[in-house]
Order: sequence, then structure tokens, then C-alpha cells
Amino acid sequence: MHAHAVSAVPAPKSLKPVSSIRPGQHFLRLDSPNEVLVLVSFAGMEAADSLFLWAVVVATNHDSAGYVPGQLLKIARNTHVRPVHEVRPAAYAREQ
Amino acid sequence: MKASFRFTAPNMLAEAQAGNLFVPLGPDLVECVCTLRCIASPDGPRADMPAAARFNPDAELAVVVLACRVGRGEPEYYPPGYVTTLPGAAPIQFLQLSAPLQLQASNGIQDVAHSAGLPPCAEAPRPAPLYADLDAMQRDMDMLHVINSSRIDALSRHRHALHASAVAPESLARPELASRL
Repeated sequence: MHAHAVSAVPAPKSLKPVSSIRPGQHFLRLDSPNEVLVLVSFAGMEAADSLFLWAVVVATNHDSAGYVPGQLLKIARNTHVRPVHEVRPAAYAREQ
Repeated sequence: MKASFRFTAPNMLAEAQAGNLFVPLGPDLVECVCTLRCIASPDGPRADMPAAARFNPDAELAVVVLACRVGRGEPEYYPPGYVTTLPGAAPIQFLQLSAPLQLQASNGIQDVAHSAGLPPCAEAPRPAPLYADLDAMQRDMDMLHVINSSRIDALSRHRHALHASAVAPESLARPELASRL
């Protein structure tokens, strides 16, 4: 699944601190834009932490360095990220 | 992100490895593409629980929602990044990606509406949105809170002053009946 899970990585357009990303919003890191991340949420609420937020990898492309979907990442609240939205959703099929 | 998938033959959640994609067959997350929550290790990503412990009858495995087949607001919708636990014996169906995800840089409120599947607005777009970002909205909310707090404090002081003058013994018709307590 991991290779080519993302077919297009957009150019930088707007940056936001990760603390202003709403739950469910996809975003990319600036230093490693090969993984699509979302903030981890528990029943719709973000995990309580004063300085850091937990994000999870939901998709990667072929340049990603060993990340897999479901992998947790700890990100400082003041880290700037690039919010993105999907133009075309991914499709899944039963594994053969 | 939206997803579409079909499934027939089930597996057990305990069989899943870090990075595998699957859909639980019930009772929860039945419309969601999920994966095991995992962390980085020197040997690569690994799940929270060792493989041997997953087959314990009481094992609860943490799973993460990656995508959902239904839209926001519909029953059984869970947002990407939602974390919960499922028993290791829960039936699942492994999935594979058949069409990749395509992304576009988000550009504010209109893109949020687009990603939510809302129809385009019939009226002409505003030259500037009411709030360009959450920080601007938060600043306005904080300012409004400060203004309201000062007004509430002023009203409260005025009310206390009125109350104190109203219940003062000398202002009563029969001050000798005022309690000393």
C-alpha cells in the first residue's frame, strides 16, 4: 500500500502552526513532505499535551523513508505545516 | 479521505502487521479503512503489542482510522486519525490500495467546503473571508471575551452597590427588624 499511495504532492501555498490544524485535516511536514499526516483524535478531541501533538501517518509516497500508515509522530505545537485536502480520494480493494 | 472497498473472506485483527490496511467487519469502524497504531523502532515500525501477545483472548489492539467510506455527518463516520481499541479476535478484511490519493494545497474556507463535499456557493465569493484563519478568529473571540468580562464586572459592581444600599438597615421601613447576622 505504501508506495505510490500519494500521487501528487502540492507545492507550498500556505503554512499554519500544527496547533491550528483541525482534527481530520490532512497536512504535510515541511522537512519531510512525503507523508500525509492527520492529528490523532480520541472521540473527536485532540490528545491533551501542553507542548506536543501526536500525528499519525495516513499515506506515503515512494520517496518516504520507511514510514508506514498508522505510525505515530510527535510534533511540537509551534511547528509549521502545510494543510492539504484531497482532490481525488484513494480507493481500496480486497487484498488478493 | 473518502474510500471505496469490497470484502468477502475475513481474517483476525491479531494477524495484522504494522502498516497493513484492513476494514473491521464489526461491530465498530465497519465503514473505515484502518491500520494498527505503530511506533518507530530501530528495526522499523512496529505495533504496540508483540505478535505473541496479540493472540491472548483479552488482547486489545489500538487501531487508527485512515479513511472512511461514508461522509462526515453520516452514521458510522469516523475522522482520519481517530484512535480506538478492538479485540484481537475481531474479524477484519485486508485491503490494498487500488487508486492513489491525490492532494492539493488547502487554501482556506472554500477548500474546506470543497473537501467536505459541499456544493459551491451560488453567490459571488467575498473579496476577503470573515476569518482568514483560526488565529484571527481566536483573537476576536478573546477580545470579545475581554469586553464582555469588563461589562459583566461593571454590572456586577453596580448590582452589588444597589443591593447593599437596598438592604442597609437604615433604608428599611423598620430597621430594628434587620438581622445582626
